[in-house]
Amino acid sequence: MNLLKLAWKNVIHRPLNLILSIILFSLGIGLINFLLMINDQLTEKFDKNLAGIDMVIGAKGSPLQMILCNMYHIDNPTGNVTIDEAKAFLNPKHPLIKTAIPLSLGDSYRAYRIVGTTHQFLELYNAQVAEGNLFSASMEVTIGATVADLLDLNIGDQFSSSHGFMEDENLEHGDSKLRVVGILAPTGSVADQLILTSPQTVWDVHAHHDEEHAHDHTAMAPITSNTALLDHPDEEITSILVQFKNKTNFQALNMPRGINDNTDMQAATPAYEINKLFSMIGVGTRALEMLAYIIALVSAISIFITLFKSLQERKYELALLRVSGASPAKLLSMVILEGLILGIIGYIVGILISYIAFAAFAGQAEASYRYSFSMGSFGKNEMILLAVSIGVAFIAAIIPAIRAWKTDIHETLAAG
Amino acid sequence: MINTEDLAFSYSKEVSFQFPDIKLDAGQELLLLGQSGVGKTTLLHILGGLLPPTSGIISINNTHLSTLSKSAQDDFRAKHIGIIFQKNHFVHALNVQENIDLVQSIAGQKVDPRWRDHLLETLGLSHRAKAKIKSLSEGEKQRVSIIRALINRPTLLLADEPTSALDDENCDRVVNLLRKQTDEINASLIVVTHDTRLKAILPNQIILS
Repeated sequence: MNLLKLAWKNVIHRPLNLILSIILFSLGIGLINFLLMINDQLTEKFDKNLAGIDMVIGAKGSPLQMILCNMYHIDNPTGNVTIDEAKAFLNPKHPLIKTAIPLSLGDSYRAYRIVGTTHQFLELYNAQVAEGNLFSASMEVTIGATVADLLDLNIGDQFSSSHGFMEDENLEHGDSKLRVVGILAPTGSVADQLILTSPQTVWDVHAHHDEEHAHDHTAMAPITSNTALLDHPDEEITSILVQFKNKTNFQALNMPRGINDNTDMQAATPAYEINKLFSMIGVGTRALEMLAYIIALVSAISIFITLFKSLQERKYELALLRVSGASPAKLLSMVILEGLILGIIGYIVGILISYIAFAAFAGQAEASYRYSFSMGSFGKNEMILLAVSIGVAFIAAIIPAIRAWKTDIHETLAAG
Repeated sequence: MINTEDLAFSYSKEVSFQFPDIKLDAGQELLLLGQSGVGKTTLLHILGGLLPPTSGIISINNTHLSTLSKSAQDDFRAKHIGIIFQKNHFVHALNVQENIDLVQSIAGQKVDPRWRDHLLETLGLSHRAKAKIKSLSEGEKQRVSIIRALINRPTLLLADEPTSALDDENCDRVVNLLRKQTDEINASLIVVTHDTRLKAILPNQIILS
């Protein structure tokens, strides 16, 4: 019988104490790990989808809403702007702008958004066509990998889009059928969950509703670039995603203010808006973090009390072990091991709890925002938490262990 | 064998004990008899190496206990001394058999299941080998304590008031059992007690006063 086995038997001998310690410890660890996982995934999603975009131009409204809508596809558009208004920024010869990608939003299919844009959109996310072709004529769509996967769409399939971003059959544009011509390879970015098409498609679908405004676009040349877009000054787009030639250029940095002051459009800087968003969410996250640390502290105290109480009850056992020849160092190690066993079980249960909670969260996020979260693998955070768990358990066990180490055989047994 | 010379112990200026010398060869038996308060338990703990004497020499198998380091004393105690206490203490998380095996492991010896099973059988506890400590009767607990004290084949077996709680019949049985078992492994037996019934059974006696 070695020390570890003895420590293990001692720990499981008091199942109620064991369960109480484990529940507290695992809640603390679980909550901390859950927050870390969410934080990592959100940061990764937001960073990846920043895609080097320096400025977004759209209709006046909330700048954060505009960013969330046009870059992350989780909020509603602020409105539309006419191509005529925005033509300066779509001009390929603009001295400060490297790329300007127009987006035309408004429709969706089974809650996946349809984005009318140019072929340049794919460069933002390093997206490649895995199967088929890129959209070119009106009503042709190229779909993201997640869309293809979850809706089980293949090349040649046809579907009707619906107005808005909710899944609602009453809002279906019944008579205009979109046709899948290509599927993108997975990018891990927002592009995976989008249905890409030319702006013309969006206009055409809406022209059926809005007969006064109707034009016959079908005869036109396909619109897949800004130059082609500029031939339609009366049509509308939702936004333009802009990358500057030089990100630190003074004029470029001042451009959003100029647009906000002098035009009927608004411009916003994604990094700034996202930081603002994070600092708003941050208050809640920090409160949860505090809660997690308090639970962790309480669980450390609970391990301490569990060990302390159990040693009080076991003082004769400890004296007996000393009589049988166990050295004080052995008793010390035994109690430390008991603490570590509690900590490690608590850690394992805690990590499981955080994975389950995260899976539930990911399911929710998928259902509400069509964002898919990967579980992530056992990584740096988990290793750090393991070290923290061992450290906390060790500290909690030290005082009881020293008491065990100091067991006086004669005094204990003569009194008993 | 065991030898002591001029053993003394003082808790304070007022409470101090001077113990008679003891000389015991291998396989011999000794009864240390005395009333409460004459330092019986103190002497037993000194003989068992659990308490260092204030002065005097104690040697077991020609080893002076006081010359050993603390950890060497622990080790020596594990291998050469078996002690049966008045109250029987166990590791409650372990069953009967595990409690016995644990004592062998601590002494750094390989668990000897045949010897353990032989002792369990001799003391009529074979059927209780896997029992929880909590489920044992007091009599069974004492017999497990005896097995535990014998499992490492000690040179010296110390018993503290082994019979004080027993009726005459069981008193005889327990003492005879101790004698028989120490005889089997050729160990010396020292019984410390105030139980005068043992006078008739163990003729080699020292009266403490």
